[in-house]
Amino acid sequence: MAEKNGGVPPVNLNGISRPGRGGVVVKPKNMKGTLRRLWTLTEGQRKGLEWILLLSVLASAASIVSPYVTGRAVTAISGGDAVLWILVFLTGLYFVDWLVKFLQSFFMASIGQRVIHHIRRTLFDWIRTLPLSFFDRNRHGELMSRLTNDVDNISTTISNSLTLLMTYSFTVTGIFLMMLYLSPFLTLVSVVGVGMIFLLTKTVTKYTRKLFLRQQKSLGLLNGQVEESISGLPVVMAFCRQEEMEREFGERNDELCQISVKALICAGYLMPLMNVINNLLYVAISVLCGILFINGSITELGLVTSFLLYVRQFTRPFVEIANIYNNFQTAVAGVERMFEILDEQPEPADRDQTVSLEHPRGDIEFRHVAFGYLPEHPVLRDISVKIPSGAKAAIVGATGSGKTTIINLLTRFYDVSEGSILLDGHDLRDYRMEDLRKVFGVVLQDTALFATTVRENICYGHPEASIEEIREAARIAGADSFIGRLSNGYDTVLEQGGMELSQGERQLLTIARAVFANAPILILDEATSSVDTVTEQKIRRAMLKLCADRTSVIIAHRLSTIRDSDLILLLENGEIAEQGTHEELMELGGRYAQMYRTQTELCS
Amino acid sequence: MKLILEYIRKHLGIFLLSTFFLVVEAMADLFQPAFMSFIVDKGIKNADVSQILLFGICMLGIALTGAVCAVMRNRFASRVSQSIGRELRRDMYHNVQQLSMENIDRLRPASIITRITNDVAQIQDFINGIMRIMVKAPVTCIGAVLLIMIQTPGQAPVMVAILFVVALLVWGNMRIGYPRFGIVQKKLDRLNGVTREFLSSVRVVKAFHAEEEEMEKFEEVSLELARANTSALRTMAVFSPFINLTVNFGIVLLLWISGSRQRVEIGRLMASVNYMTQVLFAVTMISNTLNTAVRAAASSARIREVLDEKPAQNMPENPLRPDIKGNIQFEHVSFTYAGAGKESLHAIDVNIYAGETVGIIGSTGSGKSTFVNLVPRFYDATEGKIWVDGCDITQISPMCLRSAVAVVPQKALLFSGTIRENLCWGRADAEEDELFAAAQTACADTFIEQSAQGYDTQLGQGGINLSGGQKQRLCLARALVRKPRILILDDCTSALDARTEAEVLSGLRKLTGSMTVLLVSQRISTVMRTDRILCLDNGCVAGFGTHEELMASCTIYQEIYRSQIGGEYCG
Repeated sequence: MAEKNGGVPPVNLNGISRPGRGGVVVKPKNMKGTLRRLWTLTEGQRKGLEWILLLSVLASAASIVSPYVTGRAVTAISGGDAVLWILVFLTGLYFVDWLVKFLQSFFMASIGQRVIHHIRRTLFDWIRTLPLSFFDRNRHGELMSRLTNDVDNISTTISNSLTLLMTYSFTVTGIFLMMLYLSPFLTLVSVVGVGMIFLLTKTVTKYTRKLFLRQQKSLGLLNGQVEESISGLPVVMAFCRQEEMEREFGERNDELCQISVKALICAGYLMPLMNVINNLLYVAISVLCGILFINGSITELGLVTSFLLYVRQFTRPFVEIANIYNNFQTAVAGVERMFEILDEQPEPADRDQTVSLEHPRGDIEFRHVAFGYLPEHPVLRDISVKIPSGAKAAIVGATGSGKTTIINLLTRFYDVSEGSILLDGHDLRDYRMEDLRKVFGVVLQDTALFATTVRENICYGHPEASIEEIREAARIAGADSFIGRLSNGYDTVLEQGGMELSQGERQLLTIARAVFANAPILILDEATSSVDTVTEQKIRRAMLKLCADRTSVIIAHRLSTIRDSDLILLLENGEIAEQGTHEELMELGGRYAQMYRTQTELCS
Repeated sequence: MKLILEYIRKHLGIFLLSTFFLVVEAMADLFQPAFMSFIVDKGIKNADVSQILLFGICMLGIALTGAVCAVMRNRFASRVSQSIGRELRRDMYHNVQQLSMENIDRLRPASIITRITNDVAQIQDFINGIMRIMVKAPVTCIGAVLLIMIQTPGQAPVMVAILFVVALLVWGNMRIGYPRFGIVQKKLDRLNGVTREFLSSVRVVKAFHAEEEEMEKFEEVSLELARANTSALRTMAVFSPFINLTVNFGIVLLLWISGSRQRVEIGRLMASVNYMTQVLFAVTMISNTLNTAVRAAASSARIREVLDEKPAQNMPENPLRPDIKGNIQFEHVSFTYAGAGKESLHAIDVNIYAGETVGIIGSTGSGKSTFVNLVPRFYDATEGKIWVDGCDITQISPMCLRSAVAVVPQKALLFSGTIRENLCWGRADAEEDELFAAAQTACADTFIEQSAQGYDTQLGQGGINLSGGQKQRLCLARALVRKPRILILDDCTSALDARTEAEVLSGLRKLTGSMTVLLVSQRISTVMRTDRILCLDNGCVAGFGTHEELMASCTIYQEIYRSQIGGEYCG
């Protein structure tokens, strides 16, 4: 490696991410353990990685020796000695340097990417087994960057910093030994210089860190404002608040700009000052060399030139090492956050003794079920109810009464805190998760569709399905007519994940998906809320046909649509307030009857 | 890239100033080795300490000048890059505020947000980078070559040849590397897409037990990304060491040529070697910006799209500012969403009188929301005209029109700030008792008063600390504070339980007469008691009249009625 020299600011040569450069350094909690664990993730690539490490040792060796050889050449030339062999040796050295660097980066390109892919894969593989509570707890944007960019950045930073740290420490040690060999006294002077640089770095970064923290905060505020105002744009427009929004944005924008400029200017003092100290050191050593040369302590001119070359190379890594180490720390802290995901508890494993669920009847029983998403906030209290096989059950209640939670428990998205839920006489936890989920055909509140073809959306989970089966499901759900109107029919690709369809159409597709799954128990969570009542009736009729020989659980706001249910549960504050058929409840004259009357009140 | 140049041009003064300091800084860097060589050649060789001190002081002086220039350069460069970032954000934000819903639908809000935040940050980084690299590197290269030529003229041809080869290699690296990094960017987008989809549909994935399939999808795109990255990085792996080798080879040649001549001053030789390494460093930096350049280009293209987006609506040249009473007339109005094949509304002719409450009902996709969205000009009719109080709404100042119209959207949207601030969105100068009255009508007063700080309770972003029903009621109150002439309720009571909904509706009924109300609903019970009901079917008017009239004449309405209320007719 040739000498890098002359006050050039340390642009991150190897794509090291920025934060470390005077930016915010996040300290890892357990550096050693984290790194060891990271190493376990490189399985399969270790041979390659070890080779790459070896190559980087070679590369740094070359960079230590080459200035020495150059110095020798210079001495030889100035002395008029034969220089040929030295130059041949130097050329050979450069070729070795070239070969080593080429091999190192060429193999790193594939091995590094393979490691990254493996880590990403491991993370995703783990995430998909995590319970729903994990996804409800964590912000999706954050999880997303964890899975995509972060893995990339962190891995690159770590591998780069590691190689650089190693190279630099070899270089520094090597050069130090060389300097010591050449002149212990001058070496001492250099060490003093390095100490000064260290002190300077510490002082400056103390200030810049504060400023960068403020910048980070200001950026967060601005981004929050943008997010809120842009996603709420229709309302902003409706209330003519554009100017106010722009003013608010403008203020935050200006503030961010000011603080960023300040932070950058402050950070920008470091390099030039360092350069001055560097030069000071150079001059001091030159002067000392001159004095030593005069009084005869040094006799060889080449020694002086070599030493001066080394001095320049000696200080630089120290500056870089500080930077790289900060980057490295931040990256390791990033790895720790990544590992936090891997430390999450997955969905509970199947019990050792599982009951087979080959021909489920669909008998559901809740026995004294209690549950809270947070232990201190119970959502359901002592729920006991039996839904016999083939029955149509409906759950009604105000928002927040716990309707959706019942569904979450039934499908084992969450596990009960107390009591138990039985399916066909066995606790849900006695079945294999895979078998259990196949028992339910679910239409959920959010109409999540995938950015593939309509056909693949309907047969989701069963890619081998025939088009006839898919058409049949769509027909039953009443989705066939609008699918027929799409440009490519069943092969239309929903580029925007269904956003190009109306909400009703999306819902019909999710219903078709549930129909296709042909599960013994149907669950509809306000599934028809955004379908108009005429369409809803069509769906109801289809569902009735479908429900004929299966258990169904329906959550709906509109009481008129659930009158023919076999069992209506009225939830209030997490408890079952009333249960029975429509007629029974009307006769009872309680809350249900009151609600029913309010909904139809207007026609009396 | 043109975009970046355009914005740099606005700060050309400071940019040039910073470039000037940069050039001085680079020259100072270049002169340092010269003085180093003097120290060796004139001082140490002759064992002349005073000479060493003299040149040493000169060298320190130059280093100091360089340092001052570097600080100044950084000062100005930071200002330029941050100001450009600020302006890009401001201009994008400003332009977005001018757009109509049609534009926003096309660009998608989530995408606009990342463009304003991430993409601009990317550009800022890049500008910071080009100041240091694109400008400094060539200056250093040219200066170093010139100095080598001056100090050791005999080596000039070799130097030029070496530099030519290096330039060729850098060019080749760009040529081959640029498209490859472009592919990496695309694959990264895909990975993001797949991940986003998985996360937002995780319930469905779990319910259908399709984790395996999602895993396969993810693995495939992740692998593709890894391959694209490998291919891009390999280009660098081939070229970078070659560039290194070429420059190092130059050093050897330099030494060789000097060695074959008689009497070369050692200091000069050292300086020349030093210059070569500076060239090497500068060149390496250029080829290392490749990745950043690709990202910046992608970012600037995305920013461009927002800046170039022209509002889909024309604003009137001489806008009318009538005192709006609330008569609305649709004259043969048809509407098609941009990019949609079929019409959402077809030839609508409807006359709504001031003070009337009109219920709007119809099946999903019948055009209810579209119908009401045309009134405040969220969208413009594709055909036909809409008149408010006899004025064509495209001729009315949008501010004037929209301040007379209040909309309560389907999706309850609130903003961070206190409840009071949110309510005052309706009218900034609303009196305290007006706020109370609006909250009372919207049945929001009880829960507001029950919260810890009452009207001064802070709402999180998007009102996350409220339930769906509470949010809807606040949105309604916000609209009422405005005291609009036309109130549009777009199915905004869906999250309320039946009892609260009935209360809200009866509260609203007290206000009838003072304003025109357009009430969109899925529930027939909600619209039944309005003055007149507009029944839409497939974008066409199926019926328009009182409940009794429609029950007598409109089959679609009858069908809806039967499906919701059932056979028992309780008139």
